[in-house]
Amino acid sequence: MKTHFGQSPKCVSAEANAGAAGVKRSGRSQAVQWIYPGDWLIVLAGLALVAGLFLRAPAVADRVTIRQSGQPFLEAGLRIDRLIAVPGPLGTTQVEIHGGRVRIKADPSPRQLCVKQGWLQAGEAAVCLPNRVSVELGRAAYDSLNY
Amino acid sequence: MTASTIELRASLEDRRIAALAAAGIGLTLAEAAIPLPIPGIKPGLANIVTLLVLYRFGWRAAAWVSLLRIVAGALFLGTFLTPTFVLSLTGGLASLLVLAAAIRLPQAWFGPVGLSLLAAFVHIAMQLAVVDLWLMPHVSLQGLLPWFLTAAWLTGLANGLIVARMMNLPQPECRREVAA
Repeated sequence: MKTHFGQSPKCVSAEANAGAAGVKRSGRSQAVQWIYPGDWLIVLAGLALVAGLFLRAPAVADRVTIRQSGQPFLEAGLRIDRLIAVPGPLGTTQVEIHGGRVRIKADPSPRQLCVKQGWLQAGEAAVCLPNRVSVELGRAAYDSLNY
Repeated sequence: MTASTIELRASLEDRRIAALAAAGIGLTLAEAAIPLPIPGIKPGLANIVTLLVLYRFGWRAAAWVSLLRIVAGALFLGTFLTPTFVLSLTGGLASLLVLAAAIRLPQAWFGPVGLSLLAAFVHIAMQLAVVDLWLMPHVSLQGLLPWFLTAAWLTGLANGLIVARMMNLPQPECRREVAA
């Protein structure tokens, strides 16, 4: 039977090829011989990349929930930079989304606690109690629009 | 006067590319039948054919086989011109470009396993880029990135080992030479 791959003018096996270049590969199991020295670099670099991504991954917070008097006011992603004005009993609270982060930029409350909190970490919430506004940075649940 | 007939002559190379593309299409259809738990992750068995063609017949033939397989496979699966097809095409093109560069690396040091891994990583990176920029610009894929790359690492390694194994099988011509 004639195979397509048999039509090759030269039939250089991986082992013969490596042997010609002076790379010793004998005495090991076959599967290991099929991976060339440079391939190991790629295999390990890929593994390091994956491992690094897994280690860096935990900060999966991509969803901001803003509440007004306990009622959901707005749910937003972090991808689009914008300024959100949330009305409350004392005035307007400004929530800023910028560069994948979120903070309360301005608030009419006297002690400015939520503004001083700065940019939120994953899972954190900033609460401006006097103006009854809260901002929560968390993970999105699957919904039919996004998934 | 009878209308002149247009005759298309298929050269030996045309037939070879068609047959190899058919092998790729077969693998594409076969793996579409495998139920996989996560959408977007599949073994990419057809890339075995692409890599083997790259080693035996060069990059041009590999590009033909790969692109024919992507278009025909999409026609068979009913995904032609859908986002799935665009993802498949952009991933395939990116892989081919990387393979064109990678095949020039010293062959004693970089074999099918390395090339397969490179192609797999570029494939998924390109697809994620397209999803991120075009299909779902408002959804962050960061959380999924490690999982997709893990899948690319595993499938790239497995496919590369399969290619290496197939390249090390005794060739009919080699056997004849030994016998003569």
